[in-house]
Amino acid sequence: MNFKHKYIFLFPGLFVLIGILIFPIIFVVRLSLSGWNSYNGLNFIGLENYIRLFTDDPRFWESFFRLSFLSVTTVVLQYVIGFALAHMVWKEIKFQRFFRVLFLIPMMTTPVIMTVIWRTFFHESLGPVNDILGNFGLSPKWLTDPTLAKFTVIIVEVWQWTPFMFLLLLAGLLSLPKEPFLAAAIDGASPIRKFIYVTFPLMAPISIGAIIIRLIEASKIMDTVYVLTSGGPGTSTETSSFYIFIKGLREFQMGYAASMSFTYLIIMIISLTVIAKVLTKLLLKD
Amino acid sequence: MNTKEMKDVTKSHVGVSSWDGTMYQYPVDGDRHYLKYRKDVIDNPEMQKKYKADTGKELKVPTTWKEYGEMAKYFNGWDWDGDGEKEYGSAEVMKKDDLMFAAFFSRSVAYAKNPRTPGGFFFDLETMKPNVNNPGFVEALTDWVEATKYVPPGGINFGLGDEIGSFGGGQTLFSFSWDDAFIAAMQDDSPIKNKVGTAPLPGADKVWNRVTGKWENQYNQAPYIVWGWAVGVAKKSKVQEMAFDYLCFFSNGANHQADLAIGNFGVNPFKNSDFDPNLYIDTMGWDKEIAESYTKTLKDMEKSKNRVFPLRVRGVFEFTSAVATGTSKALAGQLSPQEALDEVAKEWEAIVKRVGKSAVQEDYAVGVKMEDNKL
Repeated sequence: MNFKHKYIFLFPGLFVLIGILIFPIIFVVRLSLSGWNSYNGLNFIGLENYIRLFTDDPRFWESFFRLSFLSVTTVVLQYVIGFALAHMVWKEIKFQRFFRVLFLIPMMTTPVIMTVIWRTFFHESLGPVNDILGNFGLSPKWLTDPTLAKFTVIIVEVWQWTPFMFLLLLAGLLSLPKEPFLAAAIDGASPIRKFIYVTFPLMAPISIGAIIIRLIEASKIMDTVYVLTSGGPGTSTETSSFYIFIKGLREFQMGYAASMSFTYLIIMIISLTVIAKVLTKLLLKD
Repeated sequence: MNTKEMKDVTKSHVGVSSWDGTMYQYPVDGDRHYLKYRKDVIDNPEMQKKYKADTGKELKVPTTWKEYGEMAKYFNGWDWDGDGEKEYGSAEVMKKDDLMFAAFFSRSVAYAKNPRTPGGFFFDLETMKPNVNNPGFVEALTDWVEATKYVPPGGINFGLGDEIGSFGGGQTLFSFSWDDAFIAAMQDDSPIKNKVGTAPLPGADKVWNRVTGKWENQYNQAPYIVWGWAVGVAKKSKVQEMAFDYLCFFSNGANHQADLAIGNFGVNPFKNSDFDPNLYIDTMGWDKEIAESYTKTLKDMEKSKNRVFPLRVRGVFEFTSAVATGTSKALAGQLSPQEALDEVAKEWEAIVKRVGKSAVQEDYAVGVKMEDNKL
């Protein structure tokens, strides 16, 4: 039988793949070799943008290391809090369904809108947080202290995206086999030992998946920074994606922004692959 | 250009809508930066007495940035209007990338726009060497860093909207930037309606002479004409007449006057007829004295021979973004004012090189003609 016609069925998928993934990547590479901006067209300048990026733009690398700190910190916190919440509602507790829905609400809200609300909360002279803390003689500079502003970004990110971690981990917990827990119960294992030696190891594969998915998402932190601080004070909360946004859509240096985007993509692919391998090695020993 | 309405547009805003003497855009708004202050405090005899007793100086509308800073610092962090809330010295646009570069230039013009040294405020037109790190600009940034001590808590993260809300809501003694904060303060729903005043941007007791490389110890003030919305009809539009008719409707006398009364709308005076105080007294309920002072403040900017216009060159967004980044580093304490502006100047030189020196020079020459009153 001739099965050549089967390739016809691949065309729609292939067409979409080319349209939304392969073409944009090839175009970004081409763009990165040009000086396209508000006054130059799509010319060809060779590797000039990459040379500028690697030899004369410390701001990009500073924003990258800042992003690494922010994304690793937020994802670790999201994992710990998300796991704790998932573990809590995995058990039979009162109002279990209510809590399951409640914990998901932040994720269902629009990030930009919620960040505007958080910005209002943390407004240092007009916001309610400092209004309350003022009664105790405290007035933290949530958005204007270079160190604290980073933690404000972390707070908002953790609030917004912990539910995603919670959802993945709860799904993982609900799919665990019952036998190991029964065996542990027969052996008289305490809840802590049960968690360390049964729950956590069984959850390792889904944990790795959840952490990697969240790291990919967290490495794109942009809207939160844009609304909360615009990368300030100074450049203290500027992340790679925000910096690329400034170069591309504020300064209209499209060619240079493309070279940063492509470099950033390569770095992320390599670093996330390494992180996934390290986590697999650490958590899936047996 | 020969219509009655178009002849009414101020010379500055004909300039903003034109390129090298030819008008390309249809103006619908006029922007400039000026000082706004709490009239009920500055003109209050009791406050004047208290200020004199405590500082030995006169409380008056500040005419220099140093006076502005001294008064703002004095009135920072206590309840001087008796509403039970703390008030502060000044509300300014300090948030990075939120038009903060315009606030920096507003403070710089006093120290760095010298009417005796034509040939470029932003660059030396002949060499295209940036002026942005000369002592005039550094002095302005030093003042601005000092201003972080008398803005409301969180003030260095204030964007334009925050500035409007802060001054318009009665939180600060001073503010400077576009009209919006003042108009917001004068709206019917404002707690400080008819308690605010306007004046030209403060000046300085010295001005940098970039030719001699020395300070000139004499008073200097320079208005900063900061754009104005202008619109146009696309050349390829199939309904050009209809589009133009809509623009005429949008900016007709009645609509324009209604727009002038709304603080957050953004349309500000750009016609000579907008400088009639009765317009504000009769239709908006402003006090006569305030309306007269407001219109005089705006009108006088038109007469000045020391105006600064926005930078209009290829790559302008790169230049202004570099200013925002550098100055925000200084405001955050990451760099000293001199280091920050040296960094900006280095970036400007790199941008000039990337864009092409002759291209930027050619564009900037048009702006310099306006600065030097040759257009």
